[in-house]
Amino acid sequence: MTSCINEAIERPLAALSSGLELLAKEATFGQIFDGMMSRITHNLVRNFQSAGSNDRIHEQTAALTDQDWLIINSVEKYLAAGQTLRRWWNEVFPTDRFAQRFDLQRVFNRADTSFGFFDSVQLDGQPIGIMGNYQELFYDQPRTPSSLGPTAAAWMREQIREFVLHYFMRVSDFRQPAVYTDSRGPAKSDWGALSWCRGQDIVREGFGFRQLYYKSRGTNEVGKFSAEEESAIVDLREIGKRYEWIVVRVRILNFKFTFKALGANALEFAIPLVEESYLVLTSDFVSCQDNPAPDLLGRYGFGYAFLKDPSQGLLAYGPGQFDAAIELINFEVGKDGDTHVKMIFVANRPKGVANVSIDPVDWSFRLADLFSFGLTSQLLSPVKKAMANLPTSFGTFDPVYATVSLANMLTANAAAQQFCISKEQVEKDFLAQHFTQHYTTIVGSLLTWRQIPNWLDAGALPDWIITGRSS
Amino acid sequence: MNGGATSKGSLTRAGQIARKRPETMLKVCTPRNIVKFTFDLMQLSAEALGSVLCNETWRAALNEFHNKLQVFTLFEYVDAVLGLPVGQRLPLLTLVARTETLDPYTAVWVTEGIGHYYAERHWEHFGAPSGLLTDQYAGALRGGCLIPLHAGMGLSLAHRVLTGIPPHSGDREIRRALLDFLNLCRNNSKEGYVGAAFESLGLVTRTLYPHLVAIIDRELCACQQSLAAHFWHGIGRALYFAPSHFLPCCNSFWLAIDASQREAPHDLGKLNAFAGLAWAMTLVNIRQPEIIESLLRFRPTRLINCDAFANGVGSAIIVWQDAAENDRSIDRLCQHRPSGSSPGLAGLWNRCIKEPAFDAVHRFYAVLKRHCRFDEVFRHQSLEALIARLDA
Repeated sequence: MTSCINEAIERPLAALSSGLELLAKEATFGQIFDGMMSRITHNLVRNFQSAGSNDRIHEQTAALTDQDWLIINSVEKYLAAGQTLRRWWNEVFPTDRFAQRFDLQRVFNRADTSFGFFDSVQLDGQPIGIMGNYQELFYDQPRTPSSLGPTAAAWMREQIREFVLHYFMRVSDFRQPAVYTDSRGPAKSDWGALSWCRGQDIVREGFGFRQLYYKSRGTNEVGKFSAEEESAIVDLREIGKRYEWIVVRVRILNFKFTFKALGANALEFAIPLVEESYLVLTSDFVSCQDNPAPDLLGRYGFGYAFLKDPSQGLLAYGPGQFDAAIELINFEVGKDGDTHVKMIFVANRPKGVANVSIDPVDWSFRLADLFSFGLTSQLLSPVKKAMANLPTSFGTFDPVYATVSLANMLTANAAAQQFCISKEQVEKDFLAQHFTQHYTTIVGSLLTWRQIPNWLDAGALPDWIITGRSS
Repeated sequence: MNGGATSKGSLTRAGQIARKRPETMLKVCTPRNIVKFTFDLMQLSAEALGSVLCNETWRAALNEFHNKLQVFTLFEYVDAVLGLPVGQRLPLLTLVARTETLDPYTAVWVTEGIGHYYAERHWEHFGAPSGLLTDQYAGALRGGCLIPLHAGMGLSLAHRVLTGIPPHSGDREIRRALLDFLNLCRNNSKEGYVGAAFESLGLVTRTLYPHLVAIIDRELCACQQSLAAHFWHGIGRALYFAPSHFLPCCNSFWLAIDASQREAPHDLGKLNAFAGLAWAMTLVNIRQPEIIESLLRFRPTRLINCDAFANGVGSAIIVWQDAAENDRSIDRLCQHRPSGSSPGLAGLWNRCIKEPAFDAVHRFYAVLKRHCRFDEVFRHQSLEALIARLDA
């Protein structure tokens, strides 16, 4: 029924919009008229077959908006930057020739290693400072009698291959246990911020991936995944065969920006942020190697280059704000079936950390909202909308780096030497946070991995794995 | 006429559906089906009106309008004409075999629709196609269906490639898209038919992406003149079917010719667009020489010394001879004698229609078939010189 309504409403609207699009193009009146009429007719009569087969690329391609094109048009640029970083890593890591390498985290009683690094790389003919981290952690191993060793190891390899390349990106976000709330009691939403009742506070962790755009292999055709397809990330082995690239959006769950201006044991500002980043995956970033080394049965993994978000948020650096960045996540299955995860992150070093807008109007509304429990914005929303069109902003400033600079200027750099108030420390903190986010994601995914007895039995997999949509 | 039967059948089905449940109505009354119903109704109206009009010119204009609608419907609604199951991919051989029961005129246009339909289904299921009509997959097909299949496939490839060009793209992106399209044509076409697929670029560009005509022309001219010639030949075809020249006016064909001469920025484009227009007009109206005669009668002086028109007619006849070898339309066209009293019309008919058609069938076709170079007729060039070159 939904598809009938879509056909009756969406298709004519899309046809009309496609025709009207030509009004903005440069051509003669006759050409525009012909083009508009032809497009409308073409889109109305175009034969989309809604077959039930699984090997279809996608449903009817959704219309791409200007916002979509802003992201799509940036793919090549950030992909090229990502490829440069990947090549740099492949050259430097085997020889351990980092300009500066340092320990990043220690995880006790676990067979894990990690380190951070600073270095520089030539990007578009210009040297840029980069930083990153490498982390390796044990993932799982077969729990079988030693007599079954080779068989179990081979089984493990098949399972890991399928899990990593087909399903990992669909199930890399998960919910933490939530406090029980009595459904018969008063609801928090009835009283908003005044209520102390427990609400349905859902704590999610890990990474929530959604696939947005694709470019078909062998052509320039760029399309948008439908809303139903967004969470069912394609089998990564399809990238390079069917797709030249896909763009996904990752939401980094439970991400907080913390700032301790008065020391480790003092008041801490923690701002929970809805951080998202656009990523592009190509076949260069996907590993599907059987027997890649004498002591390895397989290496399977994926990676991506980060795209810079066209819109500006509070953070000037971090997810969605990198000028060049990559992440590589590889699962390696040893000869005995023991599996390790190796994660590599490389990004440009930040020039600033936060963007605080100097906008008196915006500040006034925020202050008023604070004392009116958000009522001001709601009541004066027409005024707020009208004011949004006026040039009331005086730019942005970075309170973090401003504090660091001021502290070091006043103490002749003693702040950096004695109290670690330095840009370098901020960068290391960032890498540590990155480490923790990824560590949590991988450890969280272990529970999901172990829930499924056979990842190759697609018919027996629960719906939430197939669709990538959890509760 | 087959088109009329199809239109009446469609109306009867609509009546049957209306008596069914509302949900079924909603499923059947899709925009696609509504447009088809409208086109069928327009065809019936044009046919009925044409049969009662006394004025020959208006009758010819209505018949031409009917033919254009019929051709478009046969091409676009190939699934309905052949009764293809939804969501099921049938092998190309099976699809083509279903055209054997159709009359030759219908079969040619449906076969072009099959080329488009087959390529589109491949895109949906497997992404960019490779080897679609090459010997590996289409070797068992009879030769006659290859030209329309390639033309239809070219339309799908061109549309997919042009859709992928981002807005505000520069020359570099356009060049890359054109290269992709050329590679797709080469990878999917049988040898000797690449031009048939490539020519569709002009048709798709002028029809759906008119703002790209100038930049694509510039890139192709810089790359290879013969590619630009194919491109403008396709634009000529597009102008014949363009909405602004679609309505049954006596001079709509001539308005299309004026547009072709206005839009083409150079002689190569003007000649090929003219030839492409004449080509499309000939193929669409090949069963009814009186329509072509009526078009010639409107402005006979425009065609004096116009080699491009005769070239388009001759090339179209070669294609028809290959695609519908058992059809008698070419014979009827060659035997037709203009009935009007316009001075010089008989001479013009002989020079622009009869002689090119005769030469095409009796001199050029066999040579082109022997050398398997049918893609050469998808652009304007001297057919005399071409066969001399091929035989040398």
